[in-house]
Amino acid sequence: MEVFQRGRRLFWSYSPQSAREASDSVVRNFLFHVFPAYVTKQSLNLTTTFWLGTITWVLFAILTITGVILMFLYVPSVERAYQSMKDIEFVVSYGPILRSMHRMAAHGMVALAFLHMMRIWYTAAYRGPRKQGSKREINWLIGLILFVLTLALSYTGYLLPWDQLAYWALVIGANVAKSAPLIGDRLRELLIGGTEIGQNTLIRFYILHCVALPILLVFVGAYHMWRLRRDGGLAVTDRLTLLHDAKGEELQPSPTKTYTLLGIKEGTTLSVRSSALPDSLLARANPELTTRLLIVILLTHVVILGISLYVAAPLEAPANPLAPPNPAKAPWYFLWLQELIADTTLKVGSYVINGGFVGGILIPTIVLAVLAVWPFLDRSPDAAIGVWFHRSRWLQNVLFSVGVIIVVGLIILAAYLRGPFWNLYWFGEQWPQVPKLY
Amino acid sequence: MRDLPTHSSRTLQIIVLILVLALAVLVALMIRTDFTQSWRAHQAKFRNVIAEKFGPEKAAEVEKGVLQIWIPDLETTDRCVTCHMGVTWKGLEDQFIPYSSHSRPELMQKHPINKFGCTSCHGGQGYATDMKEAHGWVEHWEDPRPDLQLAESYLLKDTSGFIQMKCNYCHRYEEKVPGMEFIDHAKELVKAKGCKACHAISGSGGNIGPDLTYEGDKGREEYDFSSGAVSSPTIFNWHMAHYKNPKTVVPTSIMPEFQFSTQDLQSLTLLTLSWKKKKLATDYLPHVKAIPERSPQELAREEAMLKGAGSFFVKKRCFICHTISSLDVESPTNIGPDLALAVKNVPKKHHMEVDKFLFEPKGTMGVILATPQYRLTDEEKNQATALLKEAFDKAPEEMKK
Amino acid sequence: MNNSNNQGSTRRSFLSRLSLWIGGLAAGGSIFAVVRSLIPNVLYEPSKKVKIGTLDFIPEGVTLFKDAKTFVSKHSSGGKTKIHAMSAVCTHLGCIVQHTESEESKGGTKDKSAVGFSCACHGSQFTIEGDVIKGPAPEPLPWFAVSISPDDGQLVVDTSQVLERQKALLVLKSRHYNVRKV
Repeated sequence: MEVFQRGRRLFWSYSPQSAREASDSVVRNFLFHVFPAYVTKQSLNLTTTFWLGTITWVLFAILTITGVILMFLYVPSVERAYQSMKDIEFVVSYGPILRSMHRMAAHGMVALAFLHMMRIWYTAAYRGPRKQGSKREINWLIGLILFVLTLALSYTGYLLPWDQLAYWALVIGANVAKSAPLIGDRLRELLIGGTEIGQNTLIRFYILHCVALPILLVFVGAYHMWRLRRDGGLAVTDRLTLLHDAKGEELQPSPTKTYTLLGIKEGTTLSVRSSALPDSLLARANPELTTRLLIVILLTHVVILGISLYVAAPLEAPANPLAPPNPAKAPWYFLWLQELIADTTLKVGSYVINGGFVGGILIPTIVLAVLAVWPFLDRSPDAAIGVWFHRSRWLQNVLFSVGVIIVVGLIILAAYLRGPFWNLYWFGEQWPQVPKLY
Repeated sequence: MRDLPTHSSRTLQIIVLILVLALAVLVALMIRTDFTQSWRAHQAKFRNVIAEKFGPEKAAEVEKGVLQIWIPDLETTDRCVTCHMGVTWKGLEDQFIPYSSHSRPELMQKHPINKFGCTSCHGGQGYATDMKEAHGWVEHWEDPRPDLQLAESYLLKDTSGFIQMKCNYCHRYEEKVPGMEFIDHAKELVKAKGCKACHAISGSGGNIGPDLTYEGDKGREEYDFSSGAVSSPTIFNWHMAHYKNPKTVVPTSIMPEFQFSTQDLQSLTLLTLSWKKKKLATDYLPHVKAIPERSPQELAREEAMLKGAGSFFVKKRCFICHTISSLDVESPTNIGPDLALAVKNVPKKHHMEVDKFLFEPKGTMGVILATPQYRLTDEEKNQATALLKEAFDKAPEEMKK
Repeated sequence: MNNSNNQGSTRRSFLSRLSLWIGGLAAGGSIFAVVRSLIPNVLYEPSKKVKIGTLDFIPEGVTLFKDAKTFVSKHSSGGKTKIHAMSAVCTHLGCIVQHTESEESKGGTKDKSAVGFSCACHGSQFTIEGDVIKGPAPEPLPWFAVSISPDDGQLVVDTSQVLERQKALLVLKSRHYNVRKV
């Protein structure tokens, strides 16, 4: 009994017995050491973040766990891949639920990562008070990289079943790479491991999906979280310190705290400044943050498992290199790009630029570049930091919203209004029937 | 030490509890799915059937769990026997499907289930273990198991026709196979109607129409239904309508109408769809006499057609409709009249000399000679006229009367 | 003291800079080797030259040869046979186009519609010659070199060799080609 209690004290401090134990718990518990000892109460409010970034991480965790199990069941070979998908669907106990969870969590991760990005924009959380040397802009850049990695993971993931959707997504993706000027052909060859899509391609995308990209995402993601701590927590914390400054009282960080970061920068770091806020604004990370985190984790699991029990992940007919499905559509988060690709072939005199390059490479690159530099050029006042839809940022918010509406509109257009041969069909209009054998 | 609460609020704790409960319920539902699969119920019923008929000892020997026949040679994985447990048993003929014995034991004997599986004859999705999926009645499975309703919709009395189509994947080079009446009939038609005059099939035949050797492999995307002549968009219907009247389905087609009966149409469609490229291990090749080579007489007749005086009419495709008996040219269809007597019959029917007719054709020929496939140059028209006169000279006297 | 110290520090900084450069070269070389190892030197892919059979085996009109992903058009008239091979791969993003040539009825007379080929992926349309009518395809469908194999007389389509149309069109004088020997 005593051994048990001692063990409990060594590893378990979720329900601390004393105030000291409570403050120590974040250091003593391996799982909690990523948290600060104290967080501002406002960071914990639902409407501050809607926990969107956290949910994205939880979904990534679900994806990792279900993904590792699926790796045991899936064979990355052109001959066996489709068959192993059918096996997962029909003869692996709980296989369909596992696959569905993986698929639904993947959809969710793309959606949540994007919503998280929207939240950052609308609350101006990509920047902090410049006077204090805030570098939140860097975390916005890392976030963009994480978003691209998430999309890359989705793309490489839905190729693996080797069904019609997979194969033709691969053909289109590889040829978008090919449409890049000068290096296009070499890029495509490197990507698919030859001049035609086959075993080389499948194994490449398998390794990317299961090893390279997830590891990269964990590293970049860890840096994302570290930077969040270094920047003093959520943007609302900056707001609180700024409000405190405005009152004319000086923040007095505890003398035991580090004042420099790895000796590179002198002075009070943002994280140290925020820890000096008065008790009335703070809460213990354990249990206030951890309990809420537990709720987010549980809720995400409940939703994903609940959906997966009743919605099956789609699997089309086996890949047929001679006949694309008609219409051949990408998954929803790429549909806006597919629509752009189909519409943006430019003709300048006798010179023609492939829509694959314009819509598939140029426009996304420009969008990403604009998003990347935006926070550095943003001149909105510090008062806007951490506030939803601050009045001073109305123009920026309108511009961003227009962008979002265009993307969503293109997705809806491509998803519901494009029929065979990519022709337009209005809502409810009958498509020509796809023939069956009998 | 800051003086802050060490416990989270009661509300949060209750939310945690509710969510944990919800998760537990969902996990329980998930666990349950594996135990409520429909094949388990079928297996339990089958054991009851066996217990009633042959005693509980036999019932105890019945295998449990997902059963699978795996045939790497045919790239076939069939889990049908997971529910259709009776197929290999004797004495269950009186039971309902899926507990009954196979209805054709003599076929099963020649095609043992562990060498052929189920789907190679019956179609359907062998991977699946749930009824709708397994029978292939789902969106992304292109080889469904045909049912009676489907057979009736094509005016077939049962599904055997569809199965015969699959028999012919392996039996395609045989002339006659017991039990394959539709296919046998279609093979006779192919010979009688001279399909090979225009189409290559299995490496021999003409090149006026497309090569049909692997016509069954044509994907559904490759069919054109835009003509509106095909009642519902199925490949089966396309072939039926096309054999009935090719021009209504493919307006550019020069294939003649053969006045096929419904049974002819069904047979030919089944045969055409059976022409697939299949990988077959040598021990799957059936040991039956193949379709005989042509007799020396037949070969000689063909040689005469190709090289003889009438070769012009073969080259220019006139022979599709017209026989020219005196020049040894034989038409597979005989839609038009024998041109051996054209010199005599043209003035009678059209009131003009043969010399003029090809330059100012009337009636059906007027339409046909205007289509690009049959268009003749002036030089060719003169040549044709000369040949027609030669044919008339060669024609036997009794015919001319 | 000061002097020697300075000398020492310059040497040290020179040495460290030299190490950095050499180390950088080594790292660059390794990256090159890693990337190069991922570019295959042999491919398990079908040959780019595909034999499609002797002339008399090729049907009149447009035929898709699936092995080569190529449409072969053959037109015989006036003692001449014209053959050309055209890629079935859409120039936009690589889907396989479908042969959708049909006859349209215009005021009672039937006309060949302008559309020869359509792509299912993004809706490009091409004429029977391969020119773009509509859609995002940037270039016409390329014509491949067709030749007669010297060994067995079969036609050979070389899908790696894209030619101008005039050069890619093969014109043969027909002999007794129309019906094949059995």
